[in-house]
Amino acid sequence: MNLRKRAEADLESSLEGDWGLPVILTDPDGVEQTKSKNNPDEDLKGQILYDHRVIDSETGMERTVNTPVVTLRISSLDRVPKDGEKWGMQFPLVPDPDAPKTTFILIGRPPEGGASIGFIRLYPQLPEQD
Amino acid sequence: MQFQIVRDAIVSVLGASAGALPTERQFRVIGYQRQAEDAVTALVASVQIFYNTAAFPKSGGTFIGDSVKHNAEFRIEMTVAKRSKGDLSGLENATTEGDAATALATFFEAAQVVDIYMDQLWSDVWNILMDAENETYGLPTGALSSRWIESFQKDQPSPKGEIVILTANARLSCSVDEEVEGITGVPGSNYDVTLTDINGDTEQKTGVTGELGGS
Repeated sequence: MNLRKRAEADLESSLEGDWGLPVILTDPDGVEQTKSKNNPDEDLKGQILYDHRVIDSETGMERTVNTPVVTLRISSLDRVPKDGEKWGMQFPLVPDPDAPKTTFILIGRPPEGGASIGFIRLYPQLPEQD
Repeated sequence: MQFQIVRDAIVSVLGASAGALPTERQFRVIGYQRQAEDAVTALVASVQIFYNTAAFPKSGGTFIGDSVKHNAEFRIEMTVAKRSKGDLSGLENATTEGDAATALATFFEAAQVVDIYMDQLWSDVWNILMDAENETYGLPTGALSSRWIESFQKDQPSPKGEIVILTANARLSCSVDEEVEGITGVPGSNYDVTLTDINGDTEQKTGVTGELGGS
């Protein structure tokens, strides 16, 4: 197994292992994915960080914003989110796999793909009711 | 000065009128104390009035008088903060794929939402301030004249995480008459001097410097 394939296989433990949190995806056609494509008996899981750093466009300074970043293993997805698509996402609002899931929307900021290794980074937003 | 009274009058008119708008269009006016305020509404939009620039044209009539024409300009700063929105309950309660797809299609990006909201806020502010009923912003007739909103400018939206903030400003000008009231200074020192005139007669003068009527 070459190094890239080894790194991709390692995503199962690094993203979906003990640190992984359950994620439900709803694609733009309304199709929901709750289970991993690689392991259909397992919930779809990913790494969720509840804040991340951005560059403030006004000051040029780096700062932290309290919005989540979800990193998923591409090979576990039935369909991969693309720029310009609107997706629904559900995952816990706190880093507890048993906590109730909250609905987020993937809109605006495009996904960042780590295609060379095989993960995708998503920036979901907590929307408000119209 | 008179412009301070006008500024407070603008705040009062904007604040009172904002409270009469439909709930989803209400905004907070900085400095205006509402009786009851919805915390959600307060977060969405705010308006603040600043005295910005002034011109005092000199003329023969006002040069030595105590009334001065004051062309005042106020800056009206508007701030809106919104997040993406759509049919969230429709998405959460969808029972079919079609329902979920329909609900997802209703969502708008925060940058688009905030821009639409700012346009509505600006429309409301302009209509309030230029309403014929508000020609003197509740002050007596003649307290100000020539009120006019000269310009409006929208800034770049600024994403702060999932919330996008958009600011804009408008310029409102008007003319007021300022009364030169002078200021109360430090009392002058006492004097007591003896003056001798051309005939050699002497006269005692006492009083306070800077005051009239010394003897």
